[in-house]
Amino acid sequence: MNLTRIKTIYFKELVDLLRDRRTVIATIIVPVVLYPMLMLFSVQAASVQTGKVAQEQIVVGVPSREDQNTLIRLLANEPTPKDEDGQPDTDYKPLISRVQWVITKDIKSAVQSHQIGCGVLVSKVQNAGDPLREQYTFELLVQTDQIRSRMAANRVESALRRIGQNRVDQRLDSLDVSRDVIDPFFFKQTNLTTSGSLLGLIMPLLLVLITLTSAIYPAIDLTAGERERGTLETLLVCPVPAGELVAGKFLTVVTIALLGAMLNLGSVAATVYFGGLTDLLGAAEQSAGDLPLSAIPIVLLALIPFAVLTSAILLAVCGFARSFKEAQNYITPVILATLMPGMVANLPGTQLQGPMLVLPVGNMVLLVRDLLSGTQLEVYQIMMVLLSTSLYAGGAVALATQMFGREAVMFSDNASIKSLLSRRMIRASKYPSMGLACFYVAMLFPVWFYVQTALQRKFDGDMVNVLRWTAVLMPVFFAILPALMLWYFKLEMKPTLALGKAAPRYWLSGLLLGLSMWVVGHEIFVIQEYILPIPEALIQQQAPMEALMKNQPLWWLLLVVAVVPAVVEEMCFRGMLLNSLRANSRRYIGLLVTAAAFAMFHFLVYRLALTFVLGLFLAYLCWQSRSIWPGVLAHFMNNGFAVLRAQYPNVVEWIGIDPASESKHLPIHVIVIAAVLVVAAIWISRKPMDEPQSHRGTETSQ
Amino acid sequence: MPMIHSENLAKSFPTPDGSQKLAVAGLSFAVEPGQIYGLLGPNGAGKTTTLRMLCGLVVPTSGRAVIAGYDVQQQPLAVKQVLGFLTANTGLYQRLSVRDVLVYFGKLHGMTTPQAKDRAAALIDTFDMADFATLRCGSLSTGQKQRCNIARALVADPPALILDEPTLGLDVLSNRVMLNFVRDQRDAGKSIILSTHYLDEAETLCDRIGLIHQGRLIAEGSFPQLQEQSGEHRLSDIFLKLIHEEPVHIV
Repeated sequence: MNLTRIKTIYFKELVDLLRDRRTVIATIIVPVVLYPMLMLFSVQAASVQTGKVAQEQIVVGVPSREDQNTLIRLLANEPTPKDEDGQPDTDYKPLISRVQWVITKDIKSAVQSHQIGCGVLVSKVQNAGDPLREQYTFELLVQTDQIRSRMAANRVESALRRIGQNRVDQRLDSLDVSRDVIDPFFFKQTNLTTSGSLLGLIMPLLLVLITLTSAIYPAIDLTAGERERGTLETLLVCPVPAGELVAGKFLTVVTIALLGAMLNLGSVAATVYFGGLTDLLGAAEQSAGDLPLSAIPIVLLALIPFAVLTSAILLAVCGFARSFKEAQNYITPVILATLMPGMVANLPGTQLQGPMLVLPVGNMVLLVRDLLSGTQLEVYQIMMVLLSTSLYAGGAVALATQMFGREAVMFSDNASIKSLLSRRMIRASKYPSMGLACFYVAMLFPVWFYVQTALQRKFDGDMVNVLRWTAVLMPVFFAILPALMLWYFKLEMKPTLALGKAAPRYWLSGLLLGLSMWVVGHEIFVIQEYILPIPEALIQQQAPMEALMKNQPLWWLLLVVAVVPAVVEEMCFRGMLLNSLRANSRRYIGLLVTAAAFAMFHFLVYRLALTFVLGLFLAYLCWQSRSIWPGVLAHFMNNGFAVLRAQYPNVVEWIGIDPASESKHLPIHVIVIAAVLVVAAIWISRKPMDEPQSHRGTETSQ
Repeated sequence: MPMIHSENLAKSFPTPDGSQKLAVAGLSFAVEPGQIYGLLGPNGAGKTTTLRMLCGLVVPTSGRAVIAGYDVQQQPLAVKQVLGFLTANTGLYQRLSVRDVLVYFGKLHGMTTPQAKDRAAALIDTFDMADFATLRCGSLSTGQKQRCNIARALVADPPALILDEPTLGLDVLSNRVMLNFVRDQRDAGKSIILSTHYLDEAETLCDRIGLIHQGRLIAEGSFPQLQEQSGEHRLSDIFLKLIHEEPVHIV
C-alpha cells in the first residue's frame, strides 16, 4: 500500500465531490438549514394544533336521549379543577358549556369516521336517584391515534372523575368520616426525562439513516458514476493497485458520511438547545443544562466505525452497477436491510447485551442511544460494538476491493453476481485474494459469536456439552467451510492452508514458543489487571469452566481445548488469512491483521491483548516456515498447559507458581527462562523459507 | 526485441446460454519502437478486447503479452507504468481543471507534486492549452477535451501507446490534431498500436497492419505488402477479399 498515492486519490475525490452541487446540497444545506427548520416547524405546528383543538367544541356521542340526560345532569355539578397549590383554576370552562351532543345508535362507526370525538355509554346504573349509593359504569369509546378523539375522551373522563370525587367527599362528610380513611397513599410523579434521553430515543436511528444517506451519493458517484462518465477505464490503466484506488475512494465516502452525520448531530443538538424544544417534546422543565453535550463527541467517535461500515457496503454494492440509475436500484434493498436491525434494536426495552452486541447496525443504534441517555456502559460492551462493526467494515472493504475493476463488472453486458461467482469462470490460482479471505473471516465473526451464544443458552452452564459441541463445530467453520471455499474458487489447498512440511528449525521454534508463550500470556494478563480489572461477575462466570478443567479426564480436555482449536484455528487464521495477505502485503501488515482477527474471535475484551500477542507469535512462525504445523505444536502446548495447570496444581507449585491466583506475577526465574526461549525461537526461525515453485498461473485469485 | 509482443493471446466470454464465445482466438504480433501497428477489423472482430488485454484490464483466457519486457499478467503495474492508453470514449473529470487532471494522473504515475506540476505545465505548453488550462473539463469543447486527453495519456511519457478508435466522432480539425499527434509520437520512437475503423487513415499512417476477423489475424504486413499479395489497391478491398480467403501471412 502506497499511502501517498491513497492520499492523492482521496484529496482528488474529495475536491471533485465537494465541487458538486448535489453533494453540497445533500450533505451541508439540508442538515444545516432545512433540517432544523423542519424540526422546529413540525413541533411548533403540532403544538399550535393541540392548542387549537383544545379550544374547539367537544363532540360527544351517546346512544340515547336518556343517556344524554343522565350525563347532562351529572356534568351540571362539575367542580372546578384545582391547580398544584390547591386553588381553583379560574380559567376553566365547565365541560357542559363546551359539549356538542350527538345521539346515534352506531357510536363505534361515528368515532371511527371522526363524526364525533368520543362516545359515552352509560352501561350500568345501580341505586339510581339515591345520592349516597348511586353508582354508574361509563364506557368511553375513543380512537387514541386521533388527537380530537383522545382529547375529548380525556376531558369527559377527567370531568366525570372530579364529579365522582366530589360525591365521595359528600358521602364521607354525611357519614362523618375523614377522606384519609379511603386514601392511604398519595402519589406525586416527578418527570426526570432529560433532553438526553429524548435525543436517545430519536437520534440513533436518525443518525444511522443520515450517515447512510450521506454516503449514498458519493458512493455511487465514485464507482458507477465514474464508470458511466468513462473515467474508470483511464483510472484502471494507471499503475495503481485496485486496493489503493478503493482505499482512496472509500476514505472519501467515509469523510462525506461523517461530515453529514456530524452536521446533522450538531444541527439537532443546536435546535434542541436553542429552540427550547425539550418542553414540547415532553422533557422536564429546564432544557439547556441537561443536554449531554459531553456525549456528542463520543457519539461521533462511535459513528466512525458505522460510517466506515456503511461506506464500505455501499461501495461494494455500487461497484456492481454500470450506471447511476442501476446503482440506485441496488441501494434501495441495502437501505432496508441496514435499517431493519436498527429498528429492531430501537424497540423499547432492548438492551446492549448478548447477541445485540454484534448485531450489525443494531449494536450501533443501541450504543448511541445509551451514550446519549447517559446509561452506564461497560468497557467490553463498547469494545464489542466497535470491534465487531470494524470487522464487518473490513469485510465490506475487502469485498469492495475484490469487486472493483473486475472485468465482469467493467465490461460484461450482463455483469452479475452469477457470472462473478460461476465456478466455470474462475481462473485457478494459488492463494486466495486478500478480499476473499478477509470477507470470509469477517462474515464468520457474527456467525461464530451466535453459535457460541446459542451453545451457552442451550446447555445453560453445562460446560462439558458446550465444549463438546464447540469442538465439533469448530472444524466445520474454521476448516471445512474455508476448504470448500478454496475448492470452489479453484485455489490451491496445500499452500493456502500452509499444510506443507516445515524444516526442523521451525519445529524447534514452535517447541520453544510452546514452552514459553503461556508465560507471556500470563504476564500480559497480570499487567492488564492494573488497567482493566476483570469484573467480579465475569470471574464468577468462569467458575464452572475452572471446575471442569479439574474434573474431566485429561485426554478429553486436551482434545477439545488444545488439539482441535490448535489445528483448525491455525488453518483458518495462519493458513488462509495469513497466506492471502502474504501475496499482497508486507510481513508486518500480515502479522498484525492476522493477530487482530485472531484476538477478536476470542470475543472477550480482557483476552484481546493476550490473544493478540500470541497471535503475533504464531503468525510469525507460519510466515517464516510456510507451514502451520510448528504453530499447531506451539498453540497446542500453550492451551495444553492451561489444562495441565488445572489438573496438576502440585507440579505448578513446585516450579514456584501460586496455583490459586491468576493475578500474581510469575517468579522471576520463570519469566527470564521464558523470555530467553521466546528470543531463541524468533532467532532460530529468522530466515524465512523460500516459496516452493508455483506450477499454476497467477499468484492470487482475481 | 519488440516493445509490444503478443503471443497466442486468446479470450473467451461466457454467454447467457452457458456456452463460451471466443472473442480473440490466439493472436500473435509484435510492435517495434518507432512503429505504428494498425489493428484493423470490423465491429466485433476482437480489437477492443485485444487492446484491453494488453492494458491488463481484461485477463486473457490463454496466451501472454509482454510490453517493454514486462509480462502483462505477472507485472501489471510495471506494464501500466510504460503504457499510454487513449480511446475516443475516454472521459475526463468534469469538475477538475485541465491542469488538475494532468497533475492528478502524474501523481498516480508516481511523480512528486512538483514533478507532476512541471510535467503538466510542459504538456499544456506542447498542446497549446494555456488558454483553458484552468477551466474545468466539463466546460471545454470537444477539441479541447481531446487535447487534454492526449496530454493525459502522455503524462508519464510512456514508450508504448495503445489507441483505441481515437478519431471516432471527431471533426476534420480535431481529427488532424490526433493524426499529427500519432505521427509525432512515432517519430519520437514510440511503439503505437492503433485500432480504427477508418481504413484510409490506416493506409497513410500505419507502418504495419494486422487485419483481424472473428478474433483471428487473417493478414499482416505493411500496406504495400498487403497490396502486392492481394492484388487490390484499397485497404477496404483488400480486407473484403481476405475475409473470404484463407489467412495470408506476409512477413
